[in-house]
Amino acid sequence: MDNMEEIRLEALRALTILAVHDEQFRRGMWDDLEGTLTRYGFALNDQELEQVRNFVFTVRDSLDEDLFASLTAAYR
Amino acid sequence: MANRSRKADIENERVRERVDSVFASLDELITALPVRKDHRQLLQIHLRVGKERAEAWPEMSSIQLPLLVHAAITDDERPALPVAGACTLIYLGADLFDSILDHELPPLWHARDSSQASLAATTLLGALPAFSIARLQERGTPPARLWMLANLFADAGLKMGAGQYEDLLFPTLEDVSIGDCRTMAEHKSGAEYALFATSGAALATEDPSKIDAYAAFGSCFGIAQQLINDAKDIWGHGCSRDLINGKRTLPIVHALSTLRGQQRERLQNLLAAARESTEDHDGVRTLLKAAGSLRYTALIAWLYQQQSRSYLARASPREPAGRELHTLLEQASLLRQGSPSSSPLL
Repeated sequence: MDNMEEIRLEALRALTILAVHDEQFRRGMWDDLEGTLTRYGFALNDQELEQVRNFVFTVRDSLDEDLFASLTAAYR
Repeated sequence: MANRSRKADIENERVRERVDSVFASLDELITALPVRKDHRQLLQIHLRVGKERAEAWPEMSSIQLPLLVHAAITDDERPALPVAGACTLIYLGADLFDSILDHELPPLWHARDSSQASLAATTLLGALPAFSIARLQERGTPPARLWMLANLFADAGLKMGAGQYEDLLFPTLEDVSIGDCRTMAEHKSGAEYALFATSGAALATEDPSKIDAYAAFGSCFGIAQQLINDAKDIWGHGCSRDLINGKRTLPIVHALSTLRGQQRERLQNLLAAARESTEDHDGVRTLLKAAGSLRYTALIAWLYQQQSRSYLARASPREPAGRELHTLLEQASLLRQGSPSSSPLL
């Protein structure tokens, strides 16, 4: 259970609120992740940024087709 | 490596043992109820539905969370069995109620009138959890703690009811925002999972910071799981029950908020047609993909999963229960488990 809090809770909460309520932020997360985080005043440390980047890039670079296929395979 | 696999086997065995213990305890409770035989049979039908589901999905949160959270605080899960029983009754009652509203009763109910299913749901939700909790009194649990548990169940029931109300209301509204959807998930599944975790914690400790941390862990876990279920409903089956029922779940609301002009109009028309015919479900899926609604749902589910993980870390769970809670949470993801791209993260 080492290293469980990989991203600070306060940062996660702020990311969630913006992703729910701010349309420009939502678009920016996919189009220009690091620029968007900077513009909105996030100061993530290297590990936190790596975690967010890994997730966003993994999802963004998987076409929805791939996600669709994995969902279908896993749940149908 | 062999050691890790042995550990996983032991944990899997424990997961199944918990399912057996909770359902054996509920079976005993229902058998002892002072009701007519045919009334009892109604309750037993849904207990059987629940047991079959738990055998296929032993990670069922109403069973695992109360027991594991109690063990994560005290090293012993056994005292929490009545609480896990009460949580599972809430889950079964809410599930049956949901199935009645969505006209999708499980096959075991098909020979019965839906009014009988309503009666069973009411009994499962309203009466039986208190009987399960009362077993704690026989084991010497102080009245103040029993009262706290009773309050937790009442509060969760009210919030879950609010979520159910929003679920029914949103299809009738013109504009539902992404924030509204988040609130509905928080009420519907966040409150339910928060109850599962908090009831285990409240029985184990009086430390408010620990109880609050487990409540937040459960709430975020429940929201993530709800969003995953919403995506699974649309993409995991040829026919989507949510599309047939006109539900306004996050992927749909995101697409309606994102698409503009003709595309949005087309989606609205397809959503209306999808209530009548499954032939239009693929058309809805195509427009949801164009709007990026699946990846958006995956992102929000991930953010809640990560929050839940942080709250769990703050609760400083004892091992091995902490690791088992972590393993349950890891499954709340839309990315395929163990795929090279997802393994560093999820």
